[in-house]
Amino acid sequence: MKFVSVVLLLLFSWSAFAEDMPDPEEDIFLALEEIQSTHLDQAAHRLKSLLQREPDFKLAQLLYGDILKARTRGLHNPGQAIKDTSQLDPLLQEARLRFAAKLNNKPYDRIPAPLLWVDSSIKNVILVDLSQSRLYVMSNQSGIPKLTSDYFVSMGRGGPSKEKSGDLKTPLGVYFVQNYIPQEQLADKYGAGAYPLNYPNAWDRMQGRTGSGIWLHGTRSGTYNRPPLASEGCVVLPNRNLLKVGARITQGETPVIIGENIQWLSQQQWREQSQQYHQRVQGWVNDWQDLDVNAYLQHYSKQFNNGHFTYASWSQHKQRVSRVKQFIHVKLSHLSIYHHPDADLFVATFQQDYQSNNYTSLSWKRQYWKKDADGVWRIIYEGRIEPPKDRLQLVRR
Amino acid sequence: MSKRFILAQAGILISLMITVPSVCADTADPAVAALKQGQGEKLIPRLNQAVKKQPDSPQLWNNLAVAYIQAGQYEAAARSFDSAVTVEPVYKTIYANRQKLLDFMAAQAYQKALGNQDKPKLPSFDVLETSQPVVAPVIPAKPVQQQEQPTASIIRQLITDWSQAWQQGKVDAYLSLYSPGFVAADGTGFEQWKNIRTAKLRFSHVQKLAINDEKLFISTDGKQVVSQFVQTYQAERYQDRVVKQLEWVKQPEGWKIKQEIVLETLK
Repeated sequence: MKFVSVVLLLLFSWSAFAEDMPDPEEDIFLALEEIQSTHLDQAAHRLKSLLQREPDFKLAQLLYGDILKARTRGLHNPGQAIKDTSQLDPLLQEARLRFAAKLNNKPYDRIPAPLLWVDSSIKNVILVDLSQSRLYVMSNQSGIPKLTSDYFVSMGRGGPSKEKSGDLKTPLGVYFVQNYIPQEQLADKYGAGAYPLNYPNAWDRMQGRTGSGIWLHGTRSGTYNRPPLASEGCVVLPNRNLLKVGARITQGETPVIIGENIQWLSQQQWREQSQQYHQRVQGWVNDWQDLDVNAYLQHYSKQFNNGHFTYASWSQHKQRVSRVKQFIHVKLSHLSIYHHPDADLFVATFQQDYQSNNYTSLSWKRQYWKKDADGVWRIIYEGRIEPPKDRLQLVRR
Repeated sequence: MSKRFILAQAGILISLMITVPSVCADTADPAVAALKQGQGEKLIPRLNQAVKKQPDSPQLWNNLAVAYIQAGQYEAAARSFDSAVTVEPVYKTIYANRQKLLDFMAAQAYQKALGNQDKPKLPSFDVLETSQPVVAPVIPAKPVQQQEQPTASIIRQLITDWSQAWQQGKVDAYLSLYSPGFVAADGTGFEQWKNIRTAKLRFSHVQKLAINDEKLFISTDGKQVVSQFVQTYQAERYQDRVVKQLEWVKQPEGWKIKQEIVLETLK
């Protein structure tokens, strides 16, 4: 039964790609290149056919209009016919971002530094670089994340780094797709679907961050894409791209890492870093198994707080239960480690198989590790999470 | 536009039952009148036939474009305008030059907006031959000995100037032809001589002053010229005819008279 579902699922995702059209961004890039090399005829022809396919693509409209203008009365500045700079500037910014994204070599042989350890059960990781207005889909190939596709995205009008409700900013950090809201259940402005993220996460709440409803979603009908800074904090993609990214998302599981300065490492650098971080988590497991409660507690920050325990109550509790322990066996599986792109913080998610002389449990946990002022990484939050549900029930529709 | 064609157009107009009020028809061609009234749509087939017959008429292409515009067919109109400006070779070159410039400007605008460091390459523009030279053709510089040749004509001109200034009583122009080192034949100094001559030129009304049989002797270094001529002078109460010699010397401000002698008085 499960196997049949997998096959059906595969067939369904294939159908989404079957009617794949040429990438409109590719045409924008080529048109911009043609304009700059004075091949306006070719650019006009290209844009005209692009606009037949995507009549609502504003940037394509701007370029096509400019070519007509250039051919008649001469063009001194892009979009000189648009007097309202609040309309023109976002379009020019979009042109710059899209052009740069295509012009620069894609980091196909590099790995984003935040993806320190990706469990083989995680098929894809989504990475959003707000400084580039770019979303990267990284597929997990035997534990090594590989760049498979990338898209232009819009972010909140307030820019990056959400702090409080209503600031119209997009949060920075490590998030996970919670669920999927299909188009039928959404207002038109969210487009082809929405993937809510777990903002504010445990770390955000500890920082006193407020707000909610940070989603990955599409664009309203009659709009191809939105300007770089356009949403109320959500990450917004053209509907066609949302569907492509959506096909890679597993609800409750797919990480969405949003940053302003995402570093891309060589495989060598990445391996060294990922080993270091893996050892940090393993060090915690080892001290726990060694029944050395003081060493174990040294992995926890004085600011530790998971809603039930503060550092004081946590250490008290651990001291108490350790007195009757004769042995503890802890085995972590499905470990994933993601680094916050813009903070000294990493998030570890795993399944914990705990066995001791008087207690046994199998649970899913998430830890937030923070680098303290003394340079030591300590756990600032640790809590249970819902075990990932059967993946088959979760993929969109 | 041929007469026959105009008649043909008029014919089609009549057949199309387009009535053109005579007061508005400030043109001989009813088709043009119809276009001016915004009734171009019905003329499109006829105008298309016309441009086929006369594909090198910018006027016809233009009017076809206007007809297309009146019919709301803007793309076809734009193509007709393109034909209008490209039918003549000169227009074609100008249009292509303009297009190249406009494309270059657009390229430049976008490179600036995208922060692209590579500057677009300025295309080459065609230069057209003109009917009138804008700058006089350049004559190659002559060797030094050839420059000596015009001296004779310069002196001849100066003698004419000299005689005219005298005859017309233009004292300043007359005196300006004499060198400051000039000494009169009777030994009078330059300043005193100038006063005498000024008075003479102002008060004697020259009726005739003719210069004939001019001879020039140019020194080998080209810096001195001796001119001799027959001077016939006639005033109210005096007349004479003499062979006169003027000795010219080249000074920074030009040729000046250094000496003036009457060689012979003729009968």
